[in-house]
Amino acid sequence: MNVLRALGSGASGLNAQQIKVDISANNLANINTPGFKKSSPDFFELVSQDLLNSGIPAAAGDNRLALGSGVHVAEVTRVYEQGNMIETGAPADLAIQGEGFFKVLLPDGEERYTRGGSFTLDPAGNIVTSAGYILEGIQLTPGSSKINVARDGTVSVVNHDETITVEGQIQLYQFTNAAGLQAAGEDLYSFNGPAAEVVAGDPGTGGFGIVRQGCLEKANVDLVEEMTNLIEAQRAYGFNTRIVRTADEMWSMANSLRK
Amino acid sequence: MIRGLYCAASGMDVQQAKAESISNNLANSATPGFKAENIQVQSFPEVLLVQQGGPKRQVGAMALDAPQEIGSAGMGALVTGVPIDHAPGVVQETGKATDMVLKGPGFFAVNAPAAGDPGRVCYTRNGAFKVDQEGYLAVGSGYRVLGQGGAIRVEDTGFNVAPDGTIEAGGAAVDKLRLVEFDDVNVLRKEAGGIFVDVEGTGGRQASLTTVGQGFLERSNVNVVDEMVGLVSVMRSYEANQRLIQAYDEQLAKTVNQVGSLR
Repeated sequence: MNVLRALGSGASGLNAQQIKVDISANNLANINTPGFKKSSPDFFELVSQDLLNSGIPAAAGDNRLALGSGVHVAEVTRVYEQGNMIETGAPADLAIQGEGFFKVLLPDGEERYTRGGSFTLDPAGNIVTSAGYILEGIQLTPGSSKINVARDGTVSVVNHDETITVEGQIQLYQFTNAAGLQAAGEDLYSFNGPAAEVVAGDPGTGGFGIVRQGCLEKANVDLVEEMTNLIEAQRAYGFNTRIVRTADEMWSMANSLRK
Repeated sequence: MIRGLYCAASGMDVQQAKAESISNNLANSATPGFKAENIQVQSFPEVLLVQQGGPKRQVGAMALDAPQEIGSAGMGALVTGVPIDHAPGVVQETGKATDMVLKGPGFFAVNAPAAGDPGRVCYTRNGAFKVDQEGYLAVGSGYRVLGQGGAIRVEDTGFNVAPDGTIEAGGAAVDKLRLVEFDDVNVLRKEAGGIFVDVEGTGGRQASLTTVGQGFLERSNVNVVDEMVGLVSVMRSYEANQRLIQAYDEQLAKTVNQVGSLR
């Protein structure tokens, strides 16, 4: 005989809803982060336990007499769907319309992928993220004034004498299995699957999206959806507190059987 | 001892089982494809109480003692079933390519290996799938979703699912989801992770009434209002049984301490 199972189920529900609120909170906190991709939790029912031998009188011989024992969060999945575009007019702001990620290099040579295209130019002629990480494959001639990024990723600059020099080509990256992507903070993702699963390509070819200069991809967080999730999570949290309280009261009654 | 004491105790146990099922339902009120379970309670086999002696019965010239039936008495309650409510849940649009909903009574087939049976086929209504590390379509707990030719390799989330379950990626059909319907869903037993096991091995049949929708999820079919009302009634019933036990206890105390005491 245990009242603990109801207590445990209630507690597991509280835990799961708390994770849901945490995820919503993170999504909402990043609603203005360019290229941010929202996450959502996957809930699963916990192990079913047989009622027989649990101290509860039950009909013997029926192997379908089992009760679940709560919920757990199997994992948190990221939703990579496209965010809306906003025009910023800043020449180094780049957005990907369609599939693909930019590759940036960390100072220690590590590779990271991002869709947050809020770049700037550093004095050495690199296109860098706000944290200073260099966009792969581009080195502009220092001092060049006007930068132009075509839809196919070709980067060119307009020289002082009005001639145009092609300075490089932005490549995009896709993954045969996006499940290998892991958030690495600062709007960046690292890929920890086999290198063979990383596919590089020019924007606008072979399933890759196009690059749009002067635009930013907004977070794909849907405010209404998140608020609905919050309300739902809060209510579900409430139900589960009721369960925990009821289990506690039942236990207290059992304790006061003998006055 | 007093029979009612054990009746009331079994009542408390059964109400506890009900509380456990309600708490599990409420904890899973946001789990996709979750099917609520209820506790079915029955009284123990009733016994017929017969009074020995009683009024005389005249048979010819003889007057015989006739047993007289007083009525039946219950011997407490027990759980006789945990039926699963297979009613469909509300459908919610998610827009995720890996989310699928079943319209109709069918189930997705998944490979849920068990000890000694690595090829065990189980069933689920939870269509919150993902693409696992090796590119196979899988349920969140990691079991792979089955198509006509075994596990389905889609490689990436860029695939389309037709209403009949045909999965198409990169312009070519990859496989077709194995959808299964059961004549009697009561042969299914629940396992962790929203997985149903066909305990009687009927195997089901190829779905004919079920179609698939991509980008949607089936919500849990838990009715939270019913569950909360159920919780209140469980509490009160538990309380009433507890009071009964206390009353019997007091009665026994009187018997022990007052009956036959000489003062």
